Amino acid sequence: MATNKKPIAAGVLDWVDARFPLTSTIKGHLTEYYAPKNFNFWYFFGSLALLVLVLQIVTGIFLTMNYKPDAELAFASVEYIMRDVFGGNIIRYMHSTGASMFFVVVYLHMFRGIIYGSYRNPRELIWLFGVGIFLVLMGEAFFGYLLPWGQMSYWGAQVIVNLFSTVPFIGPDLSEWLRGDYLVSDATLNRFFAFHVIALPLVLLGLVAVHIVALHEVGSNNPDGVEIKKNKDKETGIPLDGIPFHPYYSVKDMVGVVVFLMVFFAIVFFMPEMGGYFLEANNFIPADPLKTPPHIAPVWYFTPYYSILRAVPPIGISQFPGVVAMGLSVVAFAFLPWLDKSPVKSIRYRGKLYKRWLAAFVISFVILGYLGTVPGDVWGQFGSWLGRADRATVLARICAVVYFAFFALMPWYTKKDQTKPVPERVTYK
Amino acid sequence: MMKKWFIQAFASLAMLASGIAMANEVHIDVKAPIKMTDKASLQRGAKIFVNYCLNCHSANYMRYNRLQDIGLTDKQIKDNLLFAGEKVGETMRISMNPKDAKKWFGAAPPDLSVEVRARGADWVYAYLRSFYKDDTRPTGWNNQVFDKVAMPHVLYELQGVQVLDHETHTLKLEKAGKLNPI
Amino acid sequence: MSENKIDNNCLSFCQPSEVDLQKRDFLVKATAATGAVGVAAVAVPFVGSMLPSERAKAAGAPVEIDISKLKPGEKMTAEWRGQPVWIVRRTPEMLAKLAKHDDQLSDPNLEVPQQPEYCKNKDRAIKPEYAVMLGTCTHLGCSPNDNFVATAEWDGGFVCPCHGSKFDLSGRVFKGSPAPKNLLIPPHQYLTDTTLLVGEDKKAEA
Repeated sequence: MATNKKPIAAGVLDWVDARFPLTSTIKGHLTEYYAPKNFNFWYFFGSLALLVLVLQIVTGIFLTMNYKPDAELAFASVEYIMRDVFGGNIIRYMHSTGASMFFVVVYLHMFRGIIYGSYRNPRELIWLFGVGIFLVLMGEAFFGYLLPWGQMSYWGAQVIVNLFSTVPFIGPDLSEWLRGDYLVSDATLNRFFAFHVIALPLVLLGLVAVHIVALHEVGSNNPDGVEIKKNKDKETGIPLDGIPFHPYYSVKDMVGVVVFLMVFFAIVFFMPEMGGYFLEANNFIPADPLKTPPHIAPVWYFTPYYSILRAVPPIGISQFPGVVAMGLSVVAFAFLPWLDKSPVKSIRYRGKLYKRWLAAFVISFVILGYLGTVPGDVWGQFGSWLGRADRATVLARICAVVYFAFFALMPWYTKKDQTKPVPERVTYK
Repeated sequence: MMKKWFIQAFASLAMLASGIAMANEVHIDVKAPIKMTDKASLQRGAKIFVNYCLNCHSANYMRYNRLQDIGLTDKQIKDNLLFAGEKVGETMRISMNPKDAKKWFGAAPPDLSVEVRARGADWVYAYLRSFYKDDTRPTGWNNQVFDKVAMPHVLYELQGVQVLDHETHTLKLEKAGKLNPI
Repeated sequence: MSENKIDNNCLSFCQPSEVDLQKRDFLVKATAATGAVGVAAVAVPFVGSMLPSERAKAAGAPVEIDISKLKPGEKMTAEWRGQPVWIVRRTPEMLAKLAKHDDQLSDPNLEVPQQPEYCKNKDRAIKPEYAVMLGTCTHLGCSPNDNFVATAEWDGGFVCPCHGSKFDLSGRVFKGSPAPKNLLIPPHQYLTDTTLLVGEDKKAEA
């Protein structure tokens, strides 16, 4: 029979394919998965996020081999990794840098989704899974940050867990339940470790899987916001504007990976603290439940939301409004698919009105992020020209209003916007 | 068009930000004269550390043999820096119990392994040089960088005795020490 | 076992009669309800395991604090239940200033029960000279820093590093702070003139 002449590798592949959809999976998701041919710079960040996820999991596994989730031992075990374990400092810096770079990449990935309308019909579910990934990622970052058991770890966890105590009625019991103690302690550290190394990573992997499955079901969006599946070759059924993901985009992504890794390792080797933004100086002081460090601020990727929390004044004696505003500022992204009423998807064909709103949102986001990193006492120092309210607070309040207006008014300004005609086929710019 | 708009927006943002960034903290205006290539200076520093600091402060995560990094051999470390029969592979521990220390000094002397990472070299440099005589304090010493610090001026033999001029808020050397001021 | 019989089974499966549907509906609901009860029962130990353990509950014993070395105008910090307890020895000038800024405070008259009954007085203390309070901000649990040096606008007190809440030397919160309540005063009593017991008051013994 003809099969006798087949090479052994092909025989093995046949054997596997009869039992597992290997070839068809590779075809469906790589070699015959047709992606729009006009992807640009912004389309690097999805695959880079996947890369950082792998980096975090691998470095995390190796850190777990030497880390001790015990309030008495945690700080020392991190220093043990840094000094006594061969390569431990590299692995730890890769993990800490990876945490920040994860957010850099994910924020850029989200921004891509926003400017090109990638959340619009039929990609709402991809977007929702993505928001889920973002939320879990924030949880990962928060739980992981307690583990070195430094001063910033401790007081960061103290503040965030206490946010839950502002929930009316059940609040204090809720935060006690989260901590497992009357204050952040060994019990808290131990459970955060469990969340960080097993519970959330499993959820994260599941969400990433459904994010990609949903993406490959409907196909990628592109900078023109044109559905490439509408223009198929009549004979082959292949989208006219599509090219196979492999080899075209797998090779393109490799360029992105190389550039990214150059930046990544430059940080790991030469500035792992990144001027206090990736690793905070106060976290080199062991946790002390009796003394809050003079300057306490969350890591940079949380600061926009933290600023919103600080900007909202208490109502009566309840802090809950600020906490709700902070929660809303994160969850607001999930509503984008239903807030955007524009007839076009991509920013290329939107009018000035939308572009101005988006610019205002980005600027507010950055200002809020910056204000969140400055110490609390800066917020009380500018009394002179604004009465008792201080300048930083006023600025944060203005930015918070713009932030929420971007979402709340979106149905209005996207409808009113003067859009340009969208071409039938994708274009190059 | 769009891009230009963004660039202008970010430029003005940066200007705004620099106006707000003025935190209320002790300003350290000295720069620690560190030269990582000057092995002789680094070795002198190690000697001063084990002689003056390592009685009350530990450096629990630092192994003696890591001092190979500043050009010392294991034998040199053993002969010059180990006083209580430790091995060169051990960490810089102290025998003082932190609980006792808290009772005696009011605050347990912190472990110094990562102190410089926490505070910065400039802070440590300024702090060690900013002790002055203050009879209202239990130790007789106060510090301009770390007000009401529990630690006495351990290096006064070397630096001499400084006093604070309350009007100009500057320190003056009242009695010279063994080392020349720089 | 004829083909005919299999077809019959299929018929009743694919086109169930009215009676079957009702029965199936009941079975589905009953199974779901039993399952839900089971899941809830299993959730109890898992959710409960995250509550403070017996060891954590037992760690709250009262502590004795020697205040003989505390100088006027200074503060000392002790530890009770892992939290900082401050004892501030206030000078007569400090006490005088405390009486004068009631209008700037959120709760000058101590209406929110953040102190034992025996401290609900103008100095918020058993002995006016010594203020005892928990050094944990009522906003989000940071420990405020000392800022005792009085200026023209500031009578001296504490400023929280996290969100800038301000408290006076009685632990009363200033208006405009994110902190909603005054600092908590733990139950305490004097064993001797210079020994304080924090965590237990006389009422509890009686």
